Formats: sequence, structure tokens, C-alpha cells
Amino acid sequence: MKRYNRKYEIAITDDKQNGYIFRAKMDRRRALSSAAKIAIGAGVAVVVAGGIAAYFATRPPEKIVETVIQEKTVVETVAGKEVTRTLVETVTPSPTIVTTTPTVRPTTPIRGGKLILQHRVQVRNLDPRRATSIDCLYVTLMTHDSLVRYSGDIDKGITIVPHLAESYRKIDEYRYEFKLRKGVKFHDGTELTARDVEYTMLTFWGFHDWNKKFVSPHSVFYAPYFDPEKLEVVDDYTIRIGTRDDYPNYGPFLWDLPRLSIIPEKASEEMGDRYNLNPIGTGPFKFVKWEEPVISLVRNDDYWVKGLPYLDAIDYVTITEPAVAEVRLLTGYVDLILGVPFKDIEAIDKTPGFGATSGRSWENCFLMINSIKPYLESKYVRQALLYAINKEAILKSVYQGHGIIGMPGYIPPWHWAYNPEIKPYPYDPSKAKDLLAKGGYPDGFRVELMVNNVYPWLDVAQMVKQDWEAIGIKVDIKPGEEEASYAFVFDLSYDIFLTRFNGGLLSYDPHGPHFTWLYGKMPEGFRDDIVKQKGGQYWPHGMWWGMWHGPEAEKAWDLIDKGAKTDDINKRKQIYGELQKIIAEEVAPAVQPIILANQLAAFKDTVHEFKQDFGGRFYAENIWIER
Amino acid sequence: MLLPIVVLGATIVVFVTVRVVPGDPALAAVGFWSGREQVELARKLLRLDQPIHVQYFLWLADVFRGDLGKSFFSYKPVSEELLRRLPVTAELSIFALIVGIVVGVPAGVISAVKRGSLYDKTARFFGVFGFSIAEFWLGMMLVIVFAVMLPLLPPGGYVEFSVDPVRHLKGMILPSISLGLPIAAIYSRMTRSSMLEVLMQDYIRTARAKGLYEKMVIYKHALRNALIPLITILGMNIGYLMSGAVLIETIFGLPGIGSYLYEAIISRDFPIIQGTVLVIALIFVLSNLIVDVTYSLIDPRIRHGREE
Repeated sequence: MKRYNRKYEIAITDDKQNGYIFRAKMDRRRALSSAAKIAIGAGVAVVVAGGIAAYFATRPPEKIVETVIQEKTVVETVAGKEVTRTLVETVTPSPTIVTTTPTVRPTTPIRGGKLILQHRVQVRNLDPRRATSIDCLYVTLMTHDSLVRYSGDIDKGITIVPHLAESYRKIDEYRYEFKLRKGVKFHDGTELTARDVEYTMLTFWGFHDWNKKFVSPHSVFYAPYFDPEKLEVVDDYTIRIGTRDDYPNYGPFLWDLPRLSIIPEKASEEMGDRYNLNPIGTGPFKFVKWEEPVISLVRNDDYWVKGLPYLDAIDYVTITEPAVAEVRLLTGYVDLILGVPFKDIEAIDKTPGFGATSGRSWENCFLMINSIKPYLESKYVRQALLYAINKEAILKSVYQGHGIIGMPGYIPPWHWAYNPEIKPYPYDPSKAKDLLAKGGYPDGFRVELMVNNVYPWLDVAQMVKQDWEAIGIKVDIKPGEEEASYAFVFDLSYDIFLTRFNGGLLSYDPHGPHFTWLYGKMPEGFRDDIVKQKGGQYWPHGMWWGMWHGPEAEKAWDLIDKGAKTDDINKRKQIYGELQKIIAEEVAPAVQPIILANQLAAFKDTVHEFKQDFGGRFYAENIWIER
Repeated sequence: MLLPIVVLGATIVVFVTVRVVPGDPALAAVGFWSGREQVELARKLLRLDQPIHVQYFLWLADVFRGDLGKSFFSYKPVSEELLRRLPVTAELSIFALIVGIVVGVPAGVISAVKRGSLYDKTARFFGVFGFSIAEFWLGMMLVIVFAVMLPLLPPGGYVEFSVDPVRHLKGMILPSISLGLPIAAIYSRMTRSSMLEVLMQDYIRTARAKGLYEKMVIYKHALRNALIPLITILGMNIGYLMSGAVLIETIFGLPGIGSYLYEAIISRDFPIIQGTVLVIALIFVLSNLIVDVTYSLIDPRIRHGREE
């Protein structure tokens, strides 16, 4: 203490030297102490740096994926009819991750345990009628059931199987009759009857008083086709559902039903908007609470499928930051994560104790092209845009091979409606330049490329910009949130929008949200000025964001309508084959797929029977955990 | 008297801003693929078809009745959700402030006292580094070091205190450090410069001339006077903590009002944005009021001045 004071006495006498007094008077003991501090600091720095270096050094190297084109023809039965399918693989994605179930593993399901499941997107709705995105669907599929379900997989073919309906049959060209299972209980203890199914249909389709207070976005699918007058409750366990008179033998009939989760009339009417916060269904898991970031579900002990579900409980957790989500998996805090970034999936898969799935899906990364812009009106220009993009490079570098190149006819190569004549536009910049000249823009033009401001779309946009600038098109990337970007789509002020759409989530049928929404006509009264200006016609619904117009578009609209008016799958295959040719040749401005991305998920290898379908759906009642 | 005007002004600015930026909440509420009729119905149900001033006064009337509205999507009452989330953000902010004060103030004091030394240079370097780095990056680095390499702490996620107090507190350590270290950097710089100024004063020289112990001079005479500007900064930091909490809570998955606001902005959930901003404005204004009152406790001259 004395020494301390002595030094300050000197400092007071000379302010200018105050700062350097310690250095001047440093004794041996203090010098040794400083040296020791420096040594400790350096040691800590070396350990931290070494740790970081070791962490990155032990990460598995990036895998190079080779492109292979394969074709195989399979004959299979879809919805009771025989159909020939040609499977075309433009790229072999990442076969190492298609299946990851380790070899040493119990095969008999074990009952019990809690699954902690994590996703990056916050759930907004738990009422299936208001659920519009995959994250909501993940949960509503656990709490609710539908009359019929999708079964099978992409390679073997997708079919429709009865679920809450014990059986169904077509009774005339408009109607199907469904026999319900008896003794099925909702979570509140009431029994499922045909009245609940009728109520569900009416509220989903938009024909009930409920729809005056709440919006069912799904009504856009059903209202133009399904007829509320033909909805008939025969008895407590029998219901008939029918289509409007102008849609006999409606092709998508059964394919559109899995999305209709059955709602209990009494609970829904009594609870009003609280139903969204306390959903009640017949599903394998009961809702407990929704307190962000966790939605808690418990086993439904009265589930109508005996022996299911295996799990006692599920916690659905939202963590928006992917890196943190992955670390939480790898450090054991969660069991399963959905929506893993493409660049990380292989590293997780190779980590001992963990597995991953990379399954094909209908998740489109596409270009939405506004054809009322003069420089995008010519099909040659639009073709040039596709020829100029090096899609394989995007698939390899951004998607790390987890996907396939999108087909210009829109239908994926694994779908029954796919026309095998349709192939991706090859990467050919010189042909693109010629087509640009043929379209009247030999020196290119300036275009605004709107894009979702997150990975991976922003990365794709950078590569597209580079490719287009190589053929003389000046590109201004305009990143924005998806919701905000759609405002520019709706007022048609955009040029090209690079975005995503998972049609498989909504329906496997090509009509459903696919052809009608993306290539159909606008609703009457919507954008009248533009439709009239372009001499267009109206369609009961449809987005028509690309404002596709002209004789080829009209041909396409006729084919879309024709394809919905038959349930003969071979006829539909033929009609849609022709339609795909037009869409591909015209580079139909609404939606031009570039990449069909895989659905990625990672999990502890103690998690069994987790399988996502083409739309990302999975059925949690089959999942079990090894303990 | 100005305080209510500041709060109302903030609500008006937010009310107008969220409606001016691109993005249609009616469209977001029903999904971008919905038909025109659904979008228009949603717009009507959400009262978005009214002129903006009507919407504002309707909202204000509800606020005075204690109703902050419901989420456009989930229909969860905003006030209910804010009450659940406020303690989480408050806890995070308090822990971050503690980190800021415990690390920053002593670092600044020692730095000033040992001016020009190796310690001072190191502290100044980390000071500049501390407030230059994004808390987002810092958070990620801390996760890599303390959750991956040395698996000591959980990498995000939230466990309620009532469920497991130990896991709850462990879960708050990394977010608090991520949010608190930049504050520590600011406090360290502020304390250093403030202390240096005070150490030059005549009364410090007098105190030393009296033969007081150096510790007594520094902590009793110098630090107390050097704290005044620091208290001002502390009040301003409430704003920083709230904005920082948006990112930190989002990264670490904490259910505070920051992550609530972030998600609401992304999805254009106006009632949540408006309600949360109102609460944040109130907290900001009240905390500054408290800071003003605290001045008189720290420096009796301020209180005496008023009395005279």
C-alpha cells in the first residue's frame, strides 16, 4: 500500500508524466507479474484459437455431386387405374443421405418418451382451416385426422387410402359416398359423426356462417368445384360429397381431400376464435399448450388406431437461427430438426449418433415472370432467360446436390402426370444470346430480380444475375421479405420474382394449386383493366401473376379445364402431357421452376420411423424413440 | 408532462410506418395464394379497410380500455402474451446490465488509474472491439465456444424458472453475456474518460494531500463523481437493451418481447407491433425518469440545487 501511494505522490507533482509513471518505476516483482499475465493471456488465446481450428478441421469435407441422367419406366396402379410412368432423374442428388437408419438398431417399436422437434418457422395457426404453411401443418397433422390420406412414396407411386373414412365409393358422376369409422372420439370426448364432416366441408369451402367471422384460405380450392347442395348426411356414419354440375367426374376429387382435417362442430362453434388456440381433433396427439417457443402435445390414449401413437408427448420448438438449431441437436437438447440448411446436412449425417433425411419433394425454387413488361413479353426472351441459367451449378453449389433441376413443364419427373418428352433447358449462353436477338433485344435490357432475402434464394439470385449478365441482361437484385415482395406481385410492378412454392403441401393432383393457380386465368373482376387490355378471358380462379396471355395461353386454359373434368388418369396424363409442352415451349410466364429442392431433416439416431412425403408431411404417430 | 406526448408520438410513428412499408397483412393473414374475396374479407375483419386515422383512434380507444388487441394470425391477446414475455426480457436485460456494470466499470476504473499501462491498452482495445462487434456474431461465437467446444452451457432454448431453476439460469448466461459485453465496452470507455477527468480535479489532489488511502480517494471521491454521466448512459441503454434483445432473443429462442416483435414485423402482425412498441416506449420513458431521480441520490448537489 505504501509503494502504491509513493508512486501517486510523484504523479501529482508532474501531470504530463502521470500516464507513464508505472513504466518508469516498474520494479522486478511487477515486471515478473506483467510477464506472467501476458503469458497467461497468450496461452488462453492459443487454446481458444486451437479449439476453433480443431473444430473446423474435423468437419467432414464437402462432397462433390456428379450429374447423371437416368430414365426408367414403371407400370403402377394409381387410384385404381393402371398408369405408365417414366421416372427421369436429371441429377443424382445425395444418395448418401436418402436413408440413414443405422444397421445396429432395434426393429420393434418402443412405447413412450418425449420427442423434442424443432423448426425454424414460427407457427401462426393451429386451426387447420386457417393453416396455410408447412409449419402449421406439421402440428395440425398431429392433432387432426382427415377422411383419406396419401400413402406410398415418390418412387413407388402415391395413392389415396381411407383414414377416418372406413371406405368410400363413387355413386354417380358427381358424388362419392364415405362410410365413417364408428367410435372415433374427438379430444373433448365427443364422438365423430357425419355432421362434423359436413361442418368441416362447409367451413373449409367457405359456405358456412363461420366464414363470415373467419377466413378459410382453402375455400379458393374447393368453392369453384364442390357443391354444398350435394353435401348429404345419410346417417351418423355416412356422408355424400359432390361436385358442381359443370365438373362431372372431377379428377382431383379424392386427391384434394387429405388436406381437409375433420373439425368437431360443437367445439368449433362454442370456442370461436379460441379454437385456434385450443385445437381439438381426433388426431394421435392432444394439444396441451402453446407458449412460444414451445407447442406441447401429449399422447391421445383414446386414439382410434389401436397401439398408436408410440410417443408419450411431443414438444414442437421454434428456433429461427439455423446454426443454433443445429447446435441444439448436436448437443442433445432436441431430437429432430426440420428445414436444415443444405450446406450442413451431410456434416450432421456423418456425425456419430445422428442421422439425416434428404427426400425429394415438390418444393419449387422458381422464376415468376411478369409478361406484361414489354421486354418479357416475347417467348424467345423468356427462353433465353432459361438457356442462360446454369441450373446444374446452382444445384451443386447452393443446394449441395439436394434436389433436381426443375422441369420447364412444371410437373416433376417423379409425378404420374409427367411428360417424359419434357427436359430441362440446357445451359447454353450462345443460344440464349441468339434468342435474345430473336426476341428483339440483341443488346439485352435492364431487369429487376426480386428475391426472398434469405438463404438459399439470395444465393441463387446472385448466380442467376451472373448468368444473365453474361448474355447482356443487366440485373438489379431487389431482396425483400416474401410477404412484402408479394405486394409488388399483386400490383404487377415487378419484373421477375425468384421465390419458392411447395405445391405438394396442398395437393398431389396437378390441377389443385398447381395448374389452375399458376397458369390459369384471373378471377372475374380482378385486374379488369389489364385483362381487357390484353384481350384475356376469365377463369373461376387462378393467380395468373405472370399475366400469361395470347392464343397459346388460351389453349392451355382449355386443357387445364379439360383435365379436371375426367377422373380417367390415363386421359388426364395425356391432356397434361400436352399442357406441359405448351408451358415449356412458351416458358409460361407465371412460374418457371429452376430447382426442385429436397426436404431436409436431421435427428438423433435414436429416432425411428420419421418419414417426410413429397409435400413435407410426416405422421408422428409412427415415430418412436429408442431409449 | 412531455412523457405521454413522447409515448403517443411513438405509437403514431409506428402505426403509420407499419402501414407504409410494403406488405399486406390481410394477404399475409390468409396466405398469398388466397382469392380476392378472402383477402378483402380478412381486410374487413382486421379493420384494415378503415381510414388510417380511424384505425388509430379505434386502437387507442381499445388501449385505454386495457385491450391491446389480438394477433392477426393466432388470435392470442397481445396484452396476455406481453405479460408472459416481459419478465423474460426484463431478466435478460437485468443480467446484461449486471454483466455490463460488473465488467465495464471496474475495467474503466483500473484503466484510468493505470493509464498508459499494458492493462489500459488491452482494456481500450477490447473496449473498441466490444462495441464494434455485432451482438449477433458475439452470440454465435459464444455458442461455438461454450456450447460446442466446451459443452458447458445450453446453446439457446428456454426453460421456465418454475420448471427447473438451474437449467433456466444456465440458459440465460450466454444471452446475457452476448447482450451485456457490448454494454461493458461502452461503460469501460465512459468510466475511464470520466474517471480521468475527475482524477485531475483539485478535490482529488486535496484528498490525497490529506493522506487518504488511494483506494478511498478512488472509490469514495473519484468514482462516485465519475458515475454521473454513466447513470445517464444507463438510462439510454434501456433502449439499446430492448433493440439488442430483439436479435439475442431470436438467436437463442427466448420468448421475450424482442423475439415477439421480430416475428410480428416479419409477418406484419400490426396489433403485436403496436402493442409491443407502446410497451417499449413506456419502459424507455419511465426508465429515463427513474434515471433523473437517481441523479439526486448519486449527487446530493442536484437535490440541493432544486431546494434552493
